[in-house]
Amino acid sequence: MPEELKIGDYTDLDADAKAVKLSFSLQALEVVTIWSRCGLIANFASSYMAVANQSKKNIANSLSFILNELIENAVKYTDPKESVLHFALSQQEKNIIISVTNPISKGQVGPLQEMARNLIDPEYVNTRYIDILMASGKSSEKSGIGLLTIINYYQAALSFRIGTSPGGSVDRYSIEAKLNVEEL
Amino acid sequence: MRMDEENFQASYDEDSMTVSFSGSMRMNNLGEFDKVNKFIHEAYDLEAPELILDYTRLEFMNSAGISTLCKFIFDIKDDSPGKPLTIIGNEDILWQRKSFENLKKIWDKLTIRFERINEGSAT
Repeated sequence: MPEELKIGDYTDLDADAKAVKLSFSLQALEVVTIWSRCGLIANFASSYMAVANQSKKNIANSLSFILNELIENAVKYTDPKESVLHFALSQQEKNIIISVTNPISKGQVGPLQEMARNLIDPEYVNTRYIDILMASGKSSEKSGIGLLTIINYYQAALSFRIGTSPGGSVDRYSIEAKLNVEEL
Repeated sequence: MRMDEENFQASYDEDSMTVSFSGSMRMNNLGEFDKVNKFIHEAYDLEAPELILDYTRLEFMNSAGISTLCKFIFDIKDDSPGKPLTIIGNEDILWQRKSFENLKKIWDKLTIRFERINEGSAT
């Protein structure tokens, strides 16, 4: 089994018993078959968090954009599609932390770890965003700009846990996005 | 010209030479955005002297949608003779401000402006 790797400042929201959380678990296949469920979940969860941040007029829209990208990303990478993905939100003072975890195939571990290392590198993000945006405009294939977009637009601090946890038997892909409410 | 999809609408108004979007465009992949791309291209190919894309009433678009808009700009930016393109975004929606401002880096002749819409008339 590939060794689990933490990349970036991964805080493990699951381990924080005191955090107030909103969490969901759902089979990826349920979203693949009815894609609008990504947006429905994102809209509900963002509205739930927004009521505690009413001084930020447009926070629900911004949070929904971010959540939708993270859920779409998780659903696309979940392997097999019959497996369950988990997602949770928590607010700790001025930070909102979103955590998404999904099973992946063994072959995805290496490439996703490499991508994660790039995404926590500010130089990569700043210099490559426009290149990747332009490349996405030239290609008719999957865009691949979702995670870069939430870093670029909302200054999301992403961190990752990728691989098989100690004692585990399934390769997992976890992303945490730490957001400053003032940026939303 | 008009598109009525489950979660969003697009319509072209000849008098204002404007394609207006409303609702939420969050389809699964770029292939599903092909219909939107085709609609914008058809509006662009009309004999009007310019084209305006008005997103002020579009609440959401995912990154695949942003890529589709980039693709359209790539398709037309080297046209000869070219046609002016204006994109109107919603001042209060951050993903629009950020994504549309970036489009100027793809084509510097693009005109971008932002407007506020009345609270009561938002979709």
